[in-house]
Amino acid sequence: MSVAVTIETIEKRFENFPALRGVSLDIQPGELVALLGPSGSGKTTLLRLIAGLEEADRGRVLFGETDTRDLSLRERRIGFVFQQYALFKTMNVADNIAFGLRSRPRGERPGASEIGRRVKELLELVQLPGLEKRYPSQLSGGQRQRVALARALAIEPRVLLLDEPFGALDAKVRKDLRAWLRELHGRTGHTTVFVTHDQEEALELADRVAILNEGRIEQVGSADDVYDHPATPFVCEFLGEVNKLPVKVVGSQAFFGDRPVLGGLAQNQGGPASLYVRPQHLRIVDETPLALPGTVEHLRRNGPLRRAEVAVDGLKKRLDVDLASQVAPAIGERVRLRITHGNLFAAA
Amino acid sequence: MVGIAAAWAVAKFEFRGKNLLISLIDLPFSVSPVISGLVFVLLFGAQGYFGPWLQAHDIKIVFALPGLILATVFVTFPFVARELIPHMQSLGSADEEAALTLGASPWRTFFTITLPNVKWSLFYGVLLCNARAMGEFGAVAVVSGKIRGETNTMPLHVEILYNEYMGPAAFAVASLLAGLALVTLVLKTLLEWHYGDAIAASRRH
Ligand SMILES: Nc1ncnc2c1ncn2[C@@H]1O[C@H](COP(=O)(O)OP(=O)(O)OP(=O)(O)O)[C@@H](O)[C@H]1O
Ligand SMILES: [Mg+2]
Repeated sequence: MSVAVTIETIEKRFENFPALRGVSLDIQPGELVALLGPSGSGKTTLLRLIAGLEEADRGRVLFGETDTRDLSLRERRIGFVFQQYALFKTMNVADNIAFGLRSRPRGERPGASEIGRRVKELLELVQLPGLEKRYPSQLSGGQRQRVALARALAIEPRVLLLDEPFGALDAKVRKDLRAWLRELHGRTGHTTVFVTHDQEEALELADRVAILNEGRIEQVGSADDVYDHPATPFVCEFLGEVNKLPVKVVGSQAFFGDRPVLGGLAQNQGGPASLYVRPQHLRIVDETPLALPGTVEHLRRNGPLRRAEVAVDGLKKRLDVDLASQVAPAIGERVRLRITHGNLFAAA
Repeated sequence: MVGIAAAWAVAKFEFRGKNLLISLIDLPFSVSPVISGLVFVLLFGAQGYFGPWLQAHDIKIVFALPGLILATVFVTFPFVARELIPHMQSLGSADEEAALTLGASPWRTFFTITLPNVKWSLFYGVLLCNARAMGEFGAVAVVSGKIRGETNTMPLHVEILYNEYMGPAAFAVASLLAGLALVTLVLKTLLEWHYGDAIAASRRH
């Protein structure tokens, strides 16, 4: 039932604005892929293109071997969940879910009792049994979201497309629904593309993450791939907080000023570069050959984490340092920082 | 119907000449009804623009029923269109798109999704339309030729009767008209009341 989706060098302009610029992406049958990117990066546009609600200027989308340009919207069999749910306000929950089944051509349309049975089944699947008679205005945001999903699943879609499914919900509900969706996907195994601008959500939920920026895919990979080995500075910055250090690479070492701060570099990429280091990859150490001296200027707490801001000579911005289980330094204390992991990008 | 189609076209599609269409919709508001009646006569009358062609095909518009309808449609359809456009625009097209991806045909989408969504504005527009049609005098008077019992509307009838010094009859028809106007007014108030609810409901979403 699930189908592979192949996106081939899609270009899409709105008037003169290039919304997508040569996007290619292969999605395996049954895979859950997240499209992650900042606002305006083209996520919704790409999703609508896959659904057939938008037409590409160049390139094509394949479902399995079939070019989707040869398919009508109905034949595509897409389950689309919209950013704002788009439930039909004038219909109750049961009619909303049954809409797709009732829209089938006469020959394939199930009977009334069969439709009733399917609606009941789907409501159980999305854990809202007994809400058939409610109207969308009488549901909470999370409930509406699940009804929208049930409505999309009713047509037995070949591909499920979700546009910021949890965007409008509060943090707690988001987390619950996240786990629930993961589990639902495990059970139903639909090929799923899911749009979000929340990196945590993407990394936790998806088999693979595609990161979009200004209409281009910057990187595609598993959560570990993209987080630990970002292909571009943009990906590195977008996926989490990061400190930037201008360095110079000589041999296998990176130098900040005339001080070596990171060694064992495999690449032979001499010259100026930017070193990106996440706060959890900076440690306060006693004395090592590769260390960066600085002064603690500020301490703050960020949920479970304590964080120190350390000023370093020759650097305008203070470095954020996570204090895992270490004893917190005092403000004004001189410390030495060791970089345990960093990503180097040649200076542009 | 013209109003619905125009509203739909304006709200749902971006196309060249859209602004022109919007101004066209507003035209009847700004042109005196008598003038528009004259324009119709000029266009469709015997010496008019389409006159010879119409005569060749034996089609009567001016001083006949089609003329009346045309004139009435012209002065009233903006009410429907004007009522519907903002409503349709605020709905956006997400609902329709949802229906289409679920496999509904465009017709089914229009009748099950678009129309129910705008039904209050539609009733309201039709009602205003009706009110205007009952009261319309200028355009219709010029076009119709006032052939009694054939191309006559109630306001015209009142005038004819009055001119013929049949005061009581004129007043009788006039009060009938006033009665209808009252009914319309009551309906309109009722609708506004409902319609207000509907708006409030859609805000809650
Ligand atoms: N119908 C349209 N007409 C003109 N420009 C459009 C249209 N739809 C989208 N755009 C533009 O294309 C770009 C990409 O839009 P898109 O909706 O795909 O972004 P997005 O990544 O989904 O953003 P968000 O996270 O805010 O939803 C935006 O700059 C937007 O202004
Ligand atoms: Mg979007």
